[in-house]
Amino acid sequence: MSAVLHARSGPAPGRSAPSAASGRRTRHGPSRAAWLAAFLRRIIIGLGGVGLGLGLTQLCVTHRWDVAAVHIGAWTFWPKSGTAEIDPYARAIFARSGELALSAGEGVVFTAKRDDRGDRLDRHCTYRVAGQVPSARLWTLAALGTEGLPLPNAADRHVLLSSSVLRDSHGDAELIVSPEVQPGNWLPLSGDGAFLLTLHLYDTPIGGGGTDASKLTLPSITPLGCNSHA
Amino acid sequence: MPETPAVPRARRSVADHLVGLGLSLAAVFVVAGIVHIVSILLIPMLAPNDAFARVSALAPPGTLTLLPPAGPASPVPFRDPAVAVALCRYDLRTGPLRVTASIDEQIMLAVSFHSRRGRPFYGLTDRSGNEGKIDLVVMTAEQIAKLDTEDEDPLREVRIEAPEPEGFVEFDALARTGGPERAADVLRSAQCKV
Repeated sequence: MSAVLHARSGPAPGRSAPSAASGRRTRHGPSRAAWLAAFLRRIIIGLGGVGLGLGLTQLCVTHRWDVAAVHIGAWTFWPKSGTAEIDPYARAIFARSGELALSAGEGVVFTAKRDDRGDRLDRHCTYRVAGQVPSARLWTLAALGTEGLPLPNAADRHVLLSSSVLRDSHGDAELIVSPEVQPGNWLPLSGDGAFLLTLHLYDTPIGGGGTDASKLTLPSITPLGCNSHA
Repeated sequence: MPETPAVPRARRSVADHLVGLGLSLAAVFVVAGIVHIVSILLIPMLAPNDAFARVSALAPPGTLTLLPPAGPASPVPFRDPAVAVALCRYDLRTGPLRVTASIDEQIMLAVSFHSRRGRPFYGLTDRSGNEGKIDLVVMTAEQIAKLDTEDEDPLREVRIEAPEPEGFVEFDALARTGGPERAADVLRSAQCKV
């Protein structure tokens, strides 16, 4: 790279100076310019690299991007985040959010920020969450804001619990997530903007990396329509 | 290089420019990669408001503290709103920590152990309990080694090795019916003592 830099400094003014006394000056002139160019170049590379690296870290942490995450349908989970072998990305994400990681011995949590069509979950819309839930002693479905806090609502209902949801004759439950009051298993939404769904499974054989996550079946998240965004 | 050669330099070709630019870009990406990896690894060491910091603000050391029910103003995000949570912060440098809790059939009780720097190193539920109780001792590796050499008759207690001397224990209770208020009952009987 230094050859390139010297070439760029090109015919420097110092070079045309008389040569006898200029032993120093010739060395000084062009090499100082070259040194400056190289120095600036390194500064730019350094700053650019630091900026890009920190920016990428910031994006990963705020968007909860993790290379170790497993995606199943609309749901995401981290098989190892509840163990001592938690990956560095999950650790960084949790350290920044301040959340308590659910230990693998207790259960696993699946998070969805999009519906089955790939659209962001919107608090003005109604969704049906239905289908098989992996075997667990208990499960819960909650709607959280993007910062991870429950949505305030008049019913003060923030979660649906497997032991108290209504089921059809096959034992399946259909859960409706909606800003409007719904008959049956209603999980209220409120406010504007995006939200997240979390599905916690407790006392389940999944987790800790013991099971093949790609074989899991999780409930579908079907959009049923939206209110006008008045 | 004291003498600059008088030979005129060849003019820089477009190819030279492209190579120089490519090398610079590659250097930027290498630096970015290193900075990214180092910063991801450093966040758990430096994050000012991580779980341990929040637990420290909520729960004095060695005392079981019941968190208020999860709500829109909860101090800990991404909690399951159905679960009642109690926390106990510990520092094993003052001695091993004994954790006990009684079991209620109607309530799922889970105990999980988190290190200061965000490793959930152990967790279990009441299904792994013994005779209606959960009874565990958390120790550092040195404390376990010391006990093993001193003790002729090893205790029956379940020992858990902590990767760091500092950390916290989280008790989660989930009631089949009755909500977090009912679940909190089982947490009141739990204990954590140095």
